[in-house]
Amino acid sequence: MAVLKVKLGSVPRRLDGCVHCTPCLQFCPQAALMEMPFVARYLVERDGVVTAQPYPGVLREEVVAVGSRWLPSLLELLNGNFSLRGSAVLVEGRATVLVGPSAIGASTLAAALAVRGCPLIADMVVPFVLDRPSTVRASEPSVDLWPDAAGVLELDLYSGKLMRRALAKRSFTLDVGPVKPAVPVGRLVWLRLAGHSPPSATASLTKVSSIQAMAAVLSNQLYAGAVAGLGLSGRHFEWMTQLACLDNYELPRVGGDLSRALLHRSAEAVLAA
Amino acid sequence: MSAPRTLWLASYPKSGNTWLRAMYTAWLQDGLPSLHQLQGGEMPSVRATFDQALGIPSTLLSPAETDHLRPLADAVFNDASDASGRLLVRKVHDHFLTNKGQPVVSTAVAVGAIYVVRDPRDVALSLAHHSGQTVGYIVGYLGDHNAVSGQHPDEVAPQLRQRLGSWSDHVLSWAEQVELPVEVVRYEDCAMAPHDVLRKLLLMGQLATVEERLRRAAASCHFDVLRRMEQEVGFPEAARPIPFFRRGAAQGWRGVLDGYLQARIEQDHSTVMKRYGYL
Repeated sequence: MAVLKVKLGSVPRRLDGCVHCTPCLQFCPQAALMEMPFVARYLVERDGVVTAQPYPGVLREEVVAVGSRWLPSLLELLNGNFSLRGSAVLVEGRATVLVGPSAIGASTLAAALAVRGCPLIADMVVPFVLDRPSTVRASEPSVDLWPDAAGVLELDLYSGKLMRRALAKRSFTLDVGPVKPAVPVGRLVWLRLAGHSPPSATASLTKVSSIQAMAAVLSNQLYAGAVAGLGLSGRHFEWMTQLACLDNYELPRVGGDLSRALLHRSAEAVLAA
Repeated sequence: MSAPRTLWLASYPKSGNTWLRAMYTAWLQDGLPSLHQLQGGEMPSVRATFDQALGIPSTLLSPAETDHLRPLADAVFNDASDASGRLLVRKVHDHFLTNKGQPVVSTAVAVGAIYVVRDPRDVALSLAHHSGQTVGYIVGYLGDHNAVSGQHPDEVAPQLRQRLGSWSDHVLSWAEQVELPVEVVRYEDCAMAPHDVLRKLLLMGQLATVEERLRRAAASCHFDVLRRMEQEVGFPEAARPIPFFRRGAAQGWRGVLDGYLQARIEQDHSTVMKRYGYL
């Protein structure tokens, strides 16, 4: 797959030959168009060329920062690969993939593991390469954190780079060791909002069955609606089956409860599994 | 866009929304509802729901930007449910309007709204318990025209920012809007005659209201039953490790709420409280 290159230019509102359309996304076999309101409209071509048309007043740096985080997942899909929402770190030569819905704390947990010496592989989206064994594609060793998470991890807030002027979120480079471009997957850890659970129960990993893992893939994958239209149903099923056959664990998380002790316990639990 | 099939089940937090959802679930299944599978829990303010619907990351958008985009996500959610053809009941706690004066929910895909109103003196006690704040703080929150939920500039939460306004603002924003047909029901009537309240919901959703099934559903969701179920199997929607279903009694504030705080609530919200028979 080609490396993502973002250039600024004019981007059409509609994509010709669209096989799947939502208010913010359009797909055809050769390209995808993403409308990121208030930031830019992006056209991602299968060979890795990205054209972005910024909204008025948006800086080029913001357009690139947002695009570089999210667009690799679109590029992967155009090339027949699939992505999950989450982060990944290297543990003993293999990828530990932390997956869960938006704001579940995957980036914070990945950063906590990086601070413990586990190199970062990916953040926000984790692109998988359909291979045997299943591998994930490594990106820059940076992770996006909000100030409260940076504080809990005792990172210097101003060492992080602002992604957008409208947000307090910053991108932190945590380069703790080399990572190969593609890393075989060791295990998947599904982060689930704990709801009514005692805090002591929130830092232990539980093994989940293949069926439960399949259900988790279905609810955390990106662009599921585009799969059939792009003619990728067979590959998609094969990918899901591969993931379901790996070591899959569940880690309950308490929303909004970002204490240093809990994060420490969660990171230790991931390493101990 | 598909045909409208969304029914908004709106309320200020801790006003009986979940109770009504339990009754609707019981009616739908014609049996005891599972607290792990209540209908309508996909609130439009759930960040993951928003992200899934639009395919873009809300964590890269500001609260004002997500407010603006939420009706689009509602429309996608409505269309996605089209295959089932079933009414899509969705819980919502926001003020009807965003800071910019636009409806925060999609009105184009909605068949209407049920708004549950509850005595603010009971809301204050329940919300204080639920949020872990003091009752005094919550009484101030209920009177705050700028009150929001889920807004933390330095952190990200599983919920998007929700504008609430004061308790009175919230009630009037839904009761007096003209974009959607709305039926206002009182929490206290849910306690007295739950089947009547459930009937109103079903009628708004253009569903059949066979009396026997309706009464069976309402009876199966007595507050004590839900509380017992939560003790036994837990409630995944509870935000904190404390019971979600606590007391549920109408007029539970009597003998519990501090006199000064009671007077302050009655002063702050007298007009709306009188309108709904609380004063």
